[in-house]
Amino acid sequence: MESRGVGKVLVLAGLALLLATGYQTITYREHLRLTQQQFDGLPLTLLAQLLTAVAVCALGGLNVSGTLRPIRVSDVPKTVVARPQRTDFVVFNHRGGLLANLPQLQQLPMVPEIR
Amino acid sequence: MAVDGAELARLRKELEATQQPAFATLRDYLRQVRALRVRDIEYVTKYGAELLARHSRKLTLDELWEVHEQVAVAAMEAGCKQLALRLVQNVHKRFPEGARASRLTGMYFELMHTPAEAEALYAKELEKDPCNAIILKRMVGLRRGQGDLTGASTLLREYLQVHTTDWVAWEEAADLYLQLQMYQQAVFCLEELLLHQPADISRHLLLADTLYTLGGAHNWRAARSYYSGVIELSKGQNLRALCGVCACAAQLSGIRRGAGGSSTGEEELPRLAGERLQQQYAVHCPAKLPLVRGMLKAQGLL
Repeated sequence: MESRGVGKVLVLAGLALLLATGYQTITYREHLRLTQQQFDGLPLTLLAQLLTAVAVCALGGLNVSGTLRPIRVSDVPKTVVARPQRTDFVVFNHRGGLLANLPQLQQLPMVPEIR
Repeated sequence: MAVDGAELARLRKELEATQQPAFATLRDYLRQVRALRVRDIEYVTKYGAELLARHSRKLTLDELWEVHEQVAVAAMEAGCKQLALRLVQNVHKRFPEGARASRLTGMYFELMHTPAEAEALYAKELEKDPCNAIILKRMVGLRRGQGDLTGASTLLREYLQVHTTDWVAWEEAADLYLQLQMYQQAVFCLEELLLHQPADISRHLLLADTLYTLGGAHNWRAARSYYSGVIELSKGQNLRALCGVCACAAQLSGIRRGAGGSSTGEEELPRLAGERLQQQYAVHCPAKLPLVRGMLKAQGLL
């Protein structure tokens, strides 16, 4: 696709510009070290070059990736649990205690002791 | 293994089919229950006891102790005191110093109606570590079990001021405030909860219901937007949301008749919701369709 080609070119150009800026920054720092000056920050030109490189890379990346799709919640409907179990906050002052009288909960197999 | 209700139902049917269910079915069922946070006291007690009695060697160590805790809590809720005692003793022997083990022992004291002993145990743990989240949350549960809802909500508010990302605590706070009928505070807690769980339909519905209960045009409009969100998330399947939209429209039209004027958009939404509601009832429950039509007529949507 033509736009993808343009995108790839943009990304390569952006990366190249980024590498060039990096190299120029290193030589700038070497120059400062040789002339015994403090490194206070990048000069404006190099900063502008850096920001341009980032913008070009980003544009190229967006072009290469194609049309963006909206975030969708999954198509499978998630199970709705109206009153979920919160183990941290469980209470026992309810009538669930009567369940122990059910026949199926009267003959439970005994869990062995751990020694 | 998919985590959903259909899988849970299938496993339950498999368990009910035989007298001696297979190890894999038992283990998978308990895993599904933990993942979905379903409150299934009877089955977890019965089949959890079965799993631990016959197949405990086949479980990995981590899972063994998680299952111990899960079945102990279910047994305590079901009132199976002997089973609960055995499980709590096992956990205590394996983890004599752990806070989670202390919590389980404290829960057993609460079950046996000796909350003073439970409180002493929790106080001892808090001396060791005053910021222990597990024990602080258990104190809230203790107060709630004693019937002191206001005290529980105060403790929980203090806990949430420090631990704002604990969404389970926000869920519990919302539940407490709803029981206390402090709906404004419940709305705040539910909004915090929705920040953490944006895809959970039941939380959206609960917030919408609470806003509707609060009443007032502003809240009814907000409730209508949450119900609409649920309709979108569930692709029009959720009946509660459809009913909610119709109810909000009915309340708002009462106000509008006084003020005068309405936009077509505002009238179209409840009309569509009413149509969809009738369609769903015609398919799933045709016997109740006349009741639905009567309701919609009373709301002025038919």
